[in-house]
Parts: sequence; C-alpha cells; structure tokens
Amino acid sequence: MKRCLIEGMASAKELSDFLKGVEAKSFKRTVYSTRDEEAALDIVQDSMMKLAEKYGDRDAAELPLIYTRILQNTTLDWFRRQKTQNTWVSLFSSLKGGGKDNLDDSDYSDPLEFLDSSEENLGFEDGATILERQQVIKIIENEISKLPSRQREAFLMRYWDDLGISETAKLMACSEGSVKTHCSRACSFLAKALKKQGFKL
Amino acid sequence: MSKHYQNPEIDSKQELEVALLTRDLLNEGAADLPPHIANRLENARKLALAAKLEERKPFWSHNWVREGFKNSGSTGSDWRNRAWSAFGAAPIFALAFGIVLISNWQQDERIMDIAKVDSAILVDVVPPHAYKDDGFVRYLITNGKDLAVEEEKAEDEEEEKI
Repeated sequence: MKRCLIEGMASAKELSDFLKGVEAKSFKRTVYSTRDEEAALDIVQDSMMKLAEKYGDRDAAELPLIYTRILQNTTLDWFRRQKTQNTWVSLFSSLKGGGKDNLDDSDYSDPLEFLDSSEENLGFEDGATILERQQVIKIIENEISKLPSRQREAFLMRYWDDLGISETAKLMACSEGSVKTHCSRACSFLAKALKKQGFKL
Repeated sequence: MSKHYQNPEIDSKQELEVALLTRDLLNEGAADLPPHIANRLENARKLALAAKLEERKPFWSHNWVREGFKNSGSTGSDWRNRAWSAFGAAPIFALAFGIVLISNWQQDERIMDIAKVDSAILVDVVPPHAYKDDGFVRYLITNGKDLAVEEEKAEDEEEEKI
C-alpha cells in the first residue's frame, strides 16, 4: 500500500509539472478559438480533469499528445453546445442581449492592465516600449484567432507545441501534406500582420 | 521537400522566421497572464491532481459522500450522509458476505443429500423397482419409510386378492 502511494505521488508530481507547463498555453490557444475567456478556463479545467482521471497513470512522454487530443475534443464539445444554445438564444433573442463572446479589443483585455505589474520586473525597459510590445502581442493574438481553425490548429501544434509533422497530422486526422499547406498559409497570413507592425522579414 | 503545396508568397526560410517570431510573441503573451486567470488555472490544476489521487485510493477508502448527493435537497439526505460516513460501504460488504455464506451452505446441503443417496445405494437397501420410481431420492432421504408403508399396503392388497 505504502509503495503504491509513493509511486502515485511520483507520477502525480510528473503530472503536476506537465500541467503547470501547459496550462497557460492551453488557455491561450483555447481563447484563440473560442474567443471567450470564461469558456476557455472551463475547457482547460475539464481537459485537465479528464487527463488526470483517465490517463493520469500513462507514461509522462505520452501526456502531451493525449492532452492535446483531449483539449481539442473538449473545445469541439463546447462549440457543439454553443451551437445548440445559440439556436435557443436566437429563438428567444428578445430576452437576451448580445453575448460577451466577441473578441473586441476593449472587452478582451487592456494592455495597460499588464503594464503596472510588469514594469517592476523589467525596470530597464521604459513604459512605452512595454506597451508597444504588449500591443504587438495583442495584435498577433488577434490575427491568430482570425485564422481558419484548421490553419490555426496546425500552426500552433507545429510551431508552438513543437510537434512533428507526423504527430500533428495524426492529431488533426489529415495527411502530412495538408499540415504543411495549413502551416504555410498560416505563416503567409501572419507574415503580413507582422510586416504591418514593422517587423522585417 | 516538394513545394507544390506551398503558398508562393512565402518560402520555407521565411515561414520559419515568421513561425519563430510569432512563437516568441505568443510565449510572451502566455507568460503574462492576468492574476485572476493564473489563479483559476492553478486551482484547475490542483483539482485535477486531487482527482488523480482520489482515483488512486483503494475502493473502500473512497469518500462516499458526493457533492451532488449532499446537496440533493431531499429531506433524507442528512441521515443518508451520516449513515454513509458512519458505516461507509460496510452494509454492501455484509450483504455480499451473506450471499456467499448462503450459497456455500446450500452447496453443502446438496452434497450431503447426494452422499445419503450414494451411501444408500452402496448399502444396497434400495429395492430394484425403486430405481424406476420418480420419488426414489425422497425414499432414500427418508430412509425408505414412505415406500415401506406403501409396500406393506401393496402386500396387504395382494393377500386380500388371494
């Protein structure tokens, strides 16, 4: 019994480290697709619970792929639920105003919100530089969420999660050629946005 | 690497450059989450880890009082919760143990009955025509008392006929 518990603690630590490493990224990528912070938090929490409950005993090396798949499926489920909900909402539209799912810049987040806390840590940078950088990040994040879902998925898995082409293709249930095409198109789209922000490519 | 799938506006070197730059920006964005979101994510992680530890516990040491059960709103939920917390899964184990005990006892009884039949056959107290009788097992179990009475009656009837 004792041995079992000690083993459990060891793998719990691995799982904890893994979740700690991916939680911010998975939250962000869910926001890019759902454009709703609250929903993204719920989706991430559900995914973490599913991973821990059903696949917590798996080898640590297998966790990233399993987690990515769970996150994808949970996000898809959310979209399905939204679709059903929206049908009802449209039926009773007079009862409810516009949802808060829109990713308006004003609604989503305010760059000044980050400035106060990060200014202390980065004392050598002046406020204008930090603000500018934050704005660029916001713009790129917006551009990412504007990408078609398959392109965004492929791009993020390939370049943000550092997954190989074959792994990405497997997770997206498509051919490796399609992954390359999606990535290339996404990069082309993002290159335009970056150039607009003054980046030389 | 064939290039037929690629967008002509961007080559692989530029693609990599864009990807790396975007990745850096996304990483910066992800590292700078507002505190309330970071807290929510931390709580989510803790809940997930607790769920994993809960699952690892042996069956009998689970916490049987579930949230949904507790807040069911029915009048009986309190005593049910108290009963669960006091006895846990003990009644279920007792029931299972009882079923096993009864089935063992029944099996023993059956073996004893068969043993009686066998011993009666071995001792050879069984009249040959008893084997044809549907109730011969009953005869053997009751030591042939039933049939003995019937035999006497049959003999009396035969004597009367004669």
